[in-house]
Amino acid sequence: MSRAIVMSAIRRALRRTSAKEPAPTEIPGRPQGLDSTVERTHAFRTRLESVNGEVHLVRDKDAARDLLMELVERRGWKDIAVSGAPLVTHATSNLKADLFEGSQDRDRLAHCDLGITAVQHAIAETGTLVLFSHAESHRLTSLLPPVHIALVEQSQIVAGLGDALALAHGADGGEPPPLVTFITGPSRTGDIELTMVTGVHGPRELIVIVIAPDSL
Amino acid sequence: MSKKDPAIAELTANEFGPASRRALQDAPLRRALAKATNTFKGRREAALDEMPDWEALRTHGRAIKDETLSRLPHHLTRFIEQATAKGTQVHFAQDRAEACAWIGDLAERLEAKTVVKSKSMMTEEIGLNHALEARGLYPVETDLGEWIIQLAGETPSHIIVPAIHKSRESVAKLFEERLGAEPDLDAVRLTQLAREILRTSFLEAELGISGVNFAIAETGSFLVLENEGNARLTTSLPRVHVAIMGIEKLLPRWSDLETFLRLLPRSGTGQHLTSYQSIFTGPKRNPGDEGPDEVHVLILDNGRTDILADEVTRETLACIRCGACLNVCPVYAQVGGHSYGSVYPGPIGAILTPQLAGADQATPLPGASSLCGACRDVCPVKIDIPRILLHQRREVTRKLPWRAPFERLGFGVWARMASSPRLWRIGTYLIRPFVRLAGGSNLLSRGFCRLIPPLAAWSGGRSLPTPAKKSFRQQYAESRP
Amino acid sequence: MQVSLFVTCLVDQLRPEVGQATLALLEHAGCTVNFNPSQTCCGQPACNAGYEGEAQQVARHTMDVLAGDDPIVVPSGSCAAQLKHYADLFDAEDPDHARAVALAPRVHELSAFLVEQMNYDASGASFEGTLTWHDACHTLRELGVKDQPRHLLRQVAGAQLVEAPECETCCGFGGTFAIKMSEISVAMSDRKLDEIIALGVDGIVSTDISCLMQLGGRLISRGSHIRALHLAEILAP
Repeated sequence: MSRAIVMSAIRRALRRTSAKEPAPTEIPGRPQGLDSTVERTHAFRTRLESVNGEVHLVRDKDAARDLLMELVERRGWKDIAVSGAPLVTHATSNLKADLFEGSQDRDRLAHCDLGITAVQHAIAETGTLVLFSHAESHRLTSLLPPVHIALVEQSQIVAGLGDALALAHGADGGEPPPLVTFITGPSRTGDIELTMVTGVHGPRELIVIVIAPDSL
Repeated sequence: MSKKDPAIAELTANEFGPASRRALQDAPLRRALAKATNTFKGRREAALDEMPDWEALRTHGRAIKDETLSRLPHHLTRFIEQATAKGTQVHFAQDRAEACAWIGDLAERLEAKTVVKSKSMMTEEIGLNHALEARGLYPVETDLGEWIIQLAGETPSHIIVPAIHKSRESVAKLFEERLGAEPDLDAVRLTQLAREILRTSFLEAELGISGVNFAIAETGSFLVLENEGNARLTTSLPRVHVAIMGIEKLLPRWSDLETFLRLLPRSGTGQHLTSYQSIFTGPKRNPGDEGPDEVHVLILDNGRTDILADEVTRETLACIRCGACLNVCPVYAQVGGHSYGSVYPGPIGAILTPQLAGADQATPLPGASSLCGACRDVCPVKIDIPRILLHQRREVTRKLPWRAPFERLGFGVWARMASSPRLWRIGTYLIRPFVRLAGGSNLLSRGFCRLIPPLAAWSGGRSLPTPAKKSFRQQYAESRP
Repeated sequence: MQVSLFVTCLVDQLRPEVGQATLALLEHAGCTVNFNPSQTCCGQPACNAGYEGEAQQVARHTMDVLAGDDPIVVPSGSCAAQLKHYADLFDAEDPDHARAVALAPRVHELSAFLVEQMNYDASGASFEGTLTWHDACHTLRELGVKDQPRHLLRQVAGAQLVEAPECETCCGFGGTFAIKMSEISVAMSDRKLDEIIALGVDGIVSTDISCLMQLGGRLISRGSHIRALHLAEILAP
């Protein structure tokens, strides 16, 4: 059986090798000075904007709802996919467009105008959204439509990659969920002559609405 | 591994000489290479300017890799246990034939008509596409660059941007001819067209095949990173997901991902993070959830245990496939990926290809370097590529003694002379007239050089002033007896 | 200070004037220079071509020649690096390994020696024109020499030092690479030289004779008047 053969070949290869010490637990490169929600929100915004994310700060959930209404109106989005997250339900409660649960209809999702999700966390260090599959059905709703809008609460923004990974590690009853997705900006490629093009297979626009009472 | 079936598919590494000479004549290619390598080099440097702990990160990353490789059986066993407990099905393959057969069998069992693939160097190493095509299956590459070269029937020329050797005009022409697209589309419209066409494949596919950037023993998880979103689609839409990895892709702990997520994107493209990271831990837990019903991980040896066994070459397996070494290599910048005749080009390719495929299948590659060391400086896990190149050159002279007999004889004579002051003195005195003749740039010198192949190669593009009549030692002996 | 000169085979055979300049420079700096005529070659060509046995043979002889305590000054960075790494050629149990380990700290590339050991004042030297320094691969990466030669050149009267953005890019020599893959080697030189010619300097400077032969030889082939100069030739009294 191949597993036994390969494992035995590995053991044979290492028979004269002593085990190396585990790497030190201190991890280099962690961000400094992101101790308050205001600092973390500011860093998150700066980072995400530097990679073509569009970021709006609003005072509260109602303001998020109003901003969303305005965006939908201005852009003329008609067919809108949503995840089941409560924040999304509230934010879309005044929309006149057709809403549907993205995870239930992939063909419609592939042709709709917009997908809206919340997030479980966000990372200030890198301007990243963090989503867990067991907490919210984000997988296709954040991926197939040409525009993805994500609703973030300021308190969800952690300082660094290490913090987000630690939270993901035990998120699903002490285990990692089946899928952890990190999103940092829209879909992009430089494959043709290094010309940067967004919206290759995933969304060409990523819009993040941060409910940030501390910052405003 | 027999000579007819080296571990790397479509290997033409022994043709490096003629291939590189052709590349040197290809001005558009060299312009594209210069642009790509300079751009990535610059972006990497800019990213590092913002990371004062860069050296500490490299040391940390290397320590994790050393630890993992030295206890690989332990960590692999843990990975298998954890992954299996989470519902992932773990399989092994000794070589590429077995890997391709297993995947082909799975596709047949699923009655898959459409198979989508996201970028995976491993699948190219094993020649998966051709193996599946032989069984009537046509896997669709979904990474834009890989899809372009699949349409063109070519091979990748760079680890990160596989179609970098193709101009926009040539891609537009390709799309026009193969897809009936309007002529001369720009990059945005070409990309849009790719999005529309490939989306159909994504939605129809029964099987999605991805690579693995890092696998985590502690939790039985694995991570795939990308910019386009095609890996997310490949691993979310089809009913079955197969992830392929070499034995060396393992890391011990979930928390180790932090170090490598800081190292890899900066090194390869100068990004702080790529657009998407997906960390998979088992298939869906509930029938109504999104995602595949089955998740399989296929773990390959394909020659890696031999690399692991040799203490000098073992660090080759630390490679995280970032591409940084390609972007700084002055040789790669001149000749490009195709010259290496292997899915792995550039500095990492020069050491990995002969090790996987056998020294006799890639004899020119260890010599395709001036040993400048730029690659060693940028490698995020500090692989000492020049040291391994030298090791391989020694292996070639040891294991292939019939190769270059005159060179061997020449060095033997030279070593004898250089370890005897008397022989050296006499020898250098006797050849001095010829040294002066070879060193000059007049007609007589040029004629002389053309007679002796190594000198002809030198004087082809370089000419030097005639050396002085007397060597330094002669002058010294005369002036200070 | 008593020093030994390891003149290197290329300087000895092809550019003896560089050897003379180095000798004069070291004596001017206040050194008593010992030149052991039994020296031959550091062995790098054999080592880089993969002929380990031959490289070991030559290394043993060179270590015999350089026995002693005094510092060894080498007017070529790649040769200095080879001497400093002799320990890599021998297994740890081999007595030559211990000799190699003892040799390494005594070996100095010329510019590093002048700056670090002699605190040399180069303001007595003169050169009218612009110069650019070439960071030879071994000198830069194996020996960590980058600031020392620049420090010396900035003191030279009349000389203006200009930085070439590609100063750290390999010139393409690489030992037998220059012959076995000569077209690539020449293309690599051209990449550097296109930039240097555009800079319009009067000279490229290095302490690596092989790089100077490569770049200088290509400059002549291209009909350029830019000279490839050894540091010793500029600094020598």
